[in-house]
Amino acid sequence: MDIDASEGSSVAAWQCVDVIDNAHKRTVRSVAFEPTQGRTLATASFDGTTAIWEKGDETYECVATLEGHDNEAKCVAWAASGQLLATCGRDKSVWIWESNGEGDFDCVSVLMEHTQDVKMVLWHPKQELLVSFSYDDTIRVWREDDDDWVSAATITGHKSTVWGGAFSPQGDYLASVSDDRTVRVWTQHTAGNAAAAGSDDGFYYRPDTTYKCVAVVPDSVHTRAIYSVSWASSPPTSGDAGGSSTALADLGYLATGCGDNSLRVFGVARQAEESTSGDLDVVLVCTQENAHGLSDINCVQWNPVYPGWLATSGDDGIIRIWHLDAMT
Amino acid sequence: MSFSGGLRLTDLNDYITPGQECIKPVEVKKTGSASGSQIKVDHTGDYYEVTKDGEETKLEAARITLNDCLACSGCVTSAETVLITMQSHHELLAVLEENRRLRGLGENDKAKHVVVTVAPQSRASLAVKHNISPLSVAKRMTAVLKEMGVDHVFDSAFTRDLTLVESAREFVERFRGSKGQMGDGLSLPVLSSWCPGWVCYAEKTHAEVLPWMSTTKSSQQTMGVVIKDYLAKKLGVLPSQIYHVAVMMCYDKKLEASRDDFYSDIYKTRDVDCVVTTGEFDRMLSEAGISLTSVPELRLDSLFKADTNRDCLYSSAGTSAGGGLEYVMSYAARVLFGIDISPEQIATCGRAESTHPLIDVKAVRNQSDHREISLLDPTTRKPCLQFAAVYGFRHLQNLVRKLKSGRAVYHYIEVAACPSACSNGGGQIQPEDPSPAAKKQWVADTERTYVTSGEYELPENNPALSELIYDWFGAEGLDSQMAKQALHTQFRGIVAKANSLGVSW
Repeated sequence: MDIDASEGSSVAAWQCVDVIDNAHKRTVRSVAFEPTQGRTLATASFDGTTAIWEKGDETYECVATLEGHDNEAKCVAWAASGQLLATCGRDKSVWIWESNGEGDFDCVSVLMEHTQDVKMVLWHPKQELLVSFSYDDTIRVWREDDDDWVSAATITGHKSTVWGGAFSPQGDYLASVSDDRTVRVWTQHTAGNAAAAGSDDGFYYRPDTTYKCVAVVPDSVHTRAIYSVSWASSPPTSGDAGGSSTALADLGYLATGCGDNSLRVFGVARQAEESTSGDLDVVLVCTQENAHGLSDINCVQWNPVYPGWLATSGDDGIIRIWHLDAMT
Repeated sequence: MSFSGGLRLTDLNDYITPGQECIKPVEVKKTGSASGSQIKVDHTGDYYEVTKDGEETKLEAARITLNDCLACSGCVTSAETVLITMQSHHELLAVLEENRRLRGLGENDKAKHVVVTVAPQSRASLAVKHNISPLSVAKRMTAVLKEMGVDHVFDSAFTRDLTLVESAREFVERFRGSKGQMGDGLSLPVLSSWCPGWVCYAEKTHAEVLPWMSTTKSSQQTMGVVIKDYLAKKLGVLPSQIYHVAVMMCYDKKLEASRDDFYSDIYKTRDVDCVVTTGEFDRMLSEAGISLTSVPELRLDSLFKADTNRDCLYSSAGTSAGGGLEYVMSYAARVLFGIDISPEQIATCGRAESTHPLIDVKAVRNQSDHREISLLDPTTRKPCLQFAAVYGFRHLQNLVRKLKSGRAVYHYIEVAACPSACSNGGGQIQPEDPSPAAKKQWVADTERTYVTSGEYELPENNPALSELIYDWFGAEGLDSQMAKQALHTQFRGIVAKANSLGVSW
């Protein structure tokens, strides 16, 4: 199986359609499109603000600026409904904002339970459940309770900064990546009901919920900190190569971007029928070394629509589009 | 150690770039000698400045005291919050111990006069924990503190009455001054400023709202002036000979007591020397093996003839935020519009326990911590006074956004940094069950206990208050220059210092 960078191919010719100059006073660290309409863009910056842009006829206009973080904002994410926005930052806080219907946002909650810089926030693909990843080595799950947001769980296990994560396409598993060079996969676990783990319970909150680790990619595989992970489902397959990979990856593929300059793809599969632990197998299917030359890969994202397409960004200032043959 | 949300977010910052935030060492006076002097260090580690002609001047070590740190607001790292424990019940015990020692040696003059002021919200918290009434708590606290050597035990609800009247007068003056219009450059809206968590957060992050802050002092600091000015004169002692402790519901109050504005350079003394939280007070008793429920009750203390035989607590209608909104609205309704409505009627409407044809209450987005309370004109039924109560950091955020964009159409806003206001202060006693449901119930119980603590009495009907005002300020009373000086304060925005060392990514 191979990944190739489809340079020069007419299939993958990408053009820059717009540039928003001087959007922020400092680094723009994170951007996110609103998921339902795609006409609104949120940008989080080291200047502490999160700007909301609406696509007009010609270009994007700033319709709101969300202030509140005391220092660098690190990530912004939209909930699937498009009504809620989450931001996080070096001030150790996670903020939840709600659209007020007039293009602006009201602050709904300021969550201050992480003890260090919060690197990333991520919403569940289906539920209003938020996950945050931090320099304090923990992952926190947040949910709405009454009229406020509270901590639903703290997931520990990583031995160093958790840089980010990704939900499985169905939302029943969460993969996280860390400075400790491991990838861990988590799922909800109701005490006394191990068989239910990973099944229709998924990642949904219940009062007696804890989260357990169902797979670890050991720290021998990645040789530096892992900064980003993305999870795609297995595409509907046909053909020999497709057939064998389905068995290997019935839960999809994880792509990781690492400080060792390599892009890796793993197949995720449920273990054989006899196993009732709910554990998963995460198997390396291919590696692209020096995907960005001698530069760290700081972000990876599967194309949400076209199977087998992957985008990576690196410290070399380049964005590369990749195609994984085995996935189409 | 739990400061309010705004303070935790903006002040407790472990990431201090070297040599940046702390400006105190820079403030050491230079000897002003011409260039060319050298620094010499002798064998004892003292520093000397040696001028060209060999003259040596010993250099003062740059000293940074705890209060320098607390009052500067440039940074308060979480390491330094450990130092704030110096301002705890241990300090009070140390002063009482020192008094005992001095009196034992016959040096009564050197012993300090010790006064403790207790907040009604603290009493409510203790009442819930020990399952007794707030009045019983007050009487037992009086007994136990006096037994420990404290000279007077007072109630901050008393000076709160004074601040309510003064806030209401300030509001009416500002309303008239801007003819009821609010906005940039105008004297409305009035933002309450008794909450130190709100004040410190606003000074640090939103200095643009400072012109709208009420200048009336909080009940804690007003009691500070009563003790250090009025009481000192009455006792014939220097203000520095009185040691004033306040038992309060949060740690932010410790920062408030440390502000430079509340320090007298002349007498080298603070209006409030030490703030002890409700939890610290409770710990002090349990460390001494004292159970509040087994202490006998003692008659409540008072400075004034008018209420020496009082056997009830002062209470103001309103939430544990102190009743500012209700009283100011009632006063302004009467003085500005000739409408007669009591603070109690406004409070019960605010709690959705009753309705009144002239009061309109709206919980913004169904949040009880963000309420809009309007007074309607009897003929037009249109709002003539639009007030709001905003409690908790997240609602505070939305308030500030509205204020900055000119969308806050309120005349007066009661602001508290903590959700559910002071019943839920960071220094209150915590329930044994740490679950969110138990905590919620505990706070609700504390709030209910607070609200039903005593008889609602209007400040104007408090005879002890009149006695204080005229005895202290003279015939002119609250209109006197002295009153304006004593009862008002000011605010300063913190300008972020340019970060010359740090790299701007």
